[in-house]
Amino acid sequence: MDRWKQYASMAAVFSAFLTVGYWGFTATGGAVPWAKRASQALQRGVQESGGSLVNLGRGIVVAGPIRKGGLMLEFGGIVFAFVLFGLGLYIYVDRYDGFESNDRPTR
Amino acid sequence: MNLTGLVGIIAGPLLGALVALVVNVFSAALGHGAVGLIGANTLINASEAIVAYYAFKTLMGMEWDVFPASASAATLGLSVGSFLMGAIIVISGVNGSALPRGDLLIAVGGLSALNLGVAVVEGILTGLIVQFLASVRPDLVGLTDRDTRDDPTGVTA
Repeated sequence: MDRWKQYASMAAVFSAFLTVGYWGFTATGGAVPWAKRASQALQRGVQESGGSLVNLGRGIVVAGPIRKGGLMLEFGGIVFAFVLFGLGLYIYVDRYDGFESNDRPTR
Repeated sequence: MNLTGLVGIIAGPLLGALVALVVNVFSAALGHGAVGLIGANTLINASEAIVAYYAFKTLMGMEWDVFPASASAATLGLSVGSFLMGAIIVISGVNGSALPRGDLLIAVGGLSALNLGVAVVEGILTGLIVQFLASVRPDLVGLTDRDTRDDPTGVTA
C-alpha cells in the first residue's frame, strides 16, 4: 500500500478519535472534575500511606482493601503462584525455544 | 495509560492476556483498581492487547510501515477496551447509584469518548516504541523477514 495512504488512514482514525475524545472531555465537565478527582486520590494516598513504597521498618505497603479486608494471605498466595508460573514459563521458553519459534526466535 | 497495545504487539495474545492479569493483580495491591475488579480490568486490558496484536499483524500483512501499523493497531485496541469498559459499567450498573440506566449510558459514553482521545496519544507513543524496537530488534516484533532499516544514503565517514 502507498505510504501516503497508510498515513492518511492513520490520520483519519486519529482525527476522528481526537474529535470524539474532545467531546467526551467537555461532556464530562472539562478539566475541573478530573483535577478534583486526581487531587482527592493523591490526598487519600498521602493520608493512608505516605513515603516510599518499600520501607524496611514498615514492610511492603499493600492497598487498604486488601490489607484491611484480611486478604493478605490470599494475595500473597496469588503472588507466589505467579512467581512459580513465571519460573515455569522461563524454563519452558529456555528449553523449547519460545512459543512461536517459527516467526519469533528468542535468541 | 497501561501500554497494553505495546504488550499485545510484543508478547502476543496469549502472553499479553497473562501480562494483563499480573499487572492488574499488582495494580490492585497499590490501590489502582480494586480486588473485586481484577477480573473486569483483566478482561478489558486483555482485549486491548489481543485486538492490537491482530490489528498489527493484519496491517503488516498489508505491507504497512511499522509506525503507522503499530500506532493504528494500538489505538484500535485501546478503543475496543474503552467500549468494553463502558459496556461493563452500563450492563452491571454502579453499586449504590440511583442513576437511571439511560443517564448512566450517556455519562459512561462521555467517559469512553474521552478515553478515545487518550488512546491516540498512547497509540503514537506505542508506534514510536515499536518502530525503535523494529530497528534494533526486529525479532521482538516478529519482523525477521522484513528489512525495516532505511537504505544507506551513500554517505560514509
